[in-house]
Amino acid sequence: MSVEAILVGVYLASCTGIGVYFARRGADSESEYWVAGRSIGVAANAMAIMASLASGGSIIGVMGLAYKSGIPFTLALFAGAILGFPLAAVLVAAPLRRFESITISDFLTFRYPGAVARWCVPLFILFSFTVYIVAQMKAAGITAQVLLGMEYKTAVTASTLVFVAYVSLGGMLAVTWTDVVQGTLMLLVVLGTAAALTYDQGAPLAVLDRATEAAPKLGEMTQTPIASLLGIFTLWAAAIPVIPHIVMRVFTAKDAEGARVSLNLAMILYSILILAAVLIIVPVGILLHPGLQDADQVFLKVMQGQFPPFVRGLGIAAVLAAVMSTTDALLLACSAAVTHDLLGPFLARKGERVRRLTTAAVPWAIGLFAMACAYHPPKLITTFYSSAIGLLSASLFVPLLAGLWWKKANRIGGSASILVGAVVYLALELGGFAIPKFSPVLFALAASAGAMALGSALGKPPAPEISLRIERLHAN
Amino acid sequence: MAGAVEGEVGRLMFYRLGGKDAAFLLVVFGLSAVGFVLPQLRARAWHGVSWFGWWMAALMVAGPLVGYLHMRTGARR
Repeated sequence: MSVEAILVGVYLASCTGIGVYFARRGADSESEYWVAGRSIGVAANAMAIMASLASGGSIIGVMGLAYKSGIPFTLALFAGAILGFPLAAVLVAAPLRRFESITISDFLTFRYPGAVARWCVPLFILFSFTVYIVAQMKAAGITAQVLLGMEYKTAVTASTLVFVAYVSLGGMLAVTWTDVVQGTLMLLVVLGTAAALTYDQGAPLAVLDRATEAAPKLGEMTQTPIASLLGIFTLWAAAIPVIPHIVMRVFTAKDAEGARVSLNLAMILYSILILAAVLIIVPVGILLHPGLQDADQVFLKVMQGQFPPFVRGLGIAAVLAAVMSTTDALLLACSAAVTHDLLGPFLARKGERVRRLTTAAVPWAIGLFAMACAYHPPKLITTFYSSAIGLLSASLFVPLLAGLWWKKANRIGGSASILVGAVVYLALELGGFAIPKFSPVLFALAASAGAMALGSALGKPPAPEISLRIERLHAN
Repeated sequence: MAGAVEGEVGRLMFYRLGGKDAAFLLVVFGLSAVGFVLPQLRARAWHGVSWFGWWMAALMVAGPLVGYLHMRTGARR
């Protein structure tokens, strides 16, 4: 057996071990399983948030995107994601943490009581995150295919079985502690690769000069309309405060201040990771491996060509870590959408045994479905899952912010805002209109805000008990 | 007088956001907007990468650092 395969085997066994270790505590209560008993400290939460966001998209995908679409477009996307963190930290983290719920649907259903928040929000999450999971599985599959010589489908199947196992066993505690390990590994490998390439190839700016001379598209932005750049920036900036696998981390924090600081620390770590990948590793990839058919393979090709087996093994483990740290969090959020949001009242009537069985079975159902979809992978993973995340930005950003900060926001306004944002986004994204890619989210957010204002003006004011509880969320 | 009336209307409509928090968000997203608005940033390049790209990279560095300082120096709701 090769050194790479042994390292990957050790890594996968460790993840499963963490799941088994936390299986008992996770089974104790709903709060333990879904939000780790609200007991996670700042440092661990920051690393787990960074690892959750830094997906296969942030290692494999970010480099593929920069290789194919250029550095300016890629940095517009990731600047949006990074600047979404202050939005989340300042406007969402503290009041939402004080709400003491388990999912974002809990808050929206309380703030805008009715069928739209109760049913549509978890269904949107389920749809968007299943697409997101499929993209992550492609990253796992091509990594093992290129660096281990494994068959693509076998690699997808093996990684799926491991992360579904530890999610279903250990819940959020297992996910958090595997994410801490995985985030550390990712940072070490990406920064280590960047440092080694700098030592080997020369100063980053000199390499960038050579790379942009060889491939001017890498640094240009004439190929991308400004509406696309603004769209991708806005899509991710609006997504961070609402995407459930990040929001659930707010609920795992010990207190509101801990949630804010850990979001900010996560932003610093994520920024370092992305800039090292885009500005140092990609230019080397362009120089050494020009004309790749599948741009997502650029990091893997650099690892394969430049490093010995032991480092390659760490590289594979790091990519799998990136994939799994996001996918486990996505899977947990999807499972919460089904088990807690959609089936919660039904399961409460059926007793504890049925609840536990369902909680363990749902991750398997979602994971295996996504695995079957990933057998036929999308082309460029970052653009693929960004489109799906756009649905959550378009439908949830305005209702969440208005629900937390605008006293006049009411049931009609909130419900209309969720629906109009989603419908406009899907119509523009799928309707074949001649508008720049990623710009639909701009129209959808404006429409969602308009619907919120109009609906709230026409409907009755929120019930006194709702207003009182929201008032308390803002009291220090 | 007009300012006082507007302030009162604001308090009736919205929950209060701390001044430092509001200023922080305005600076971060104001600087982001500048990146999209100024055509000069798209037209010029440094080391082969357009100024827009460097602007975004600078935001990715400055945003987290200023955010961290903001959180550690008495940011309130």
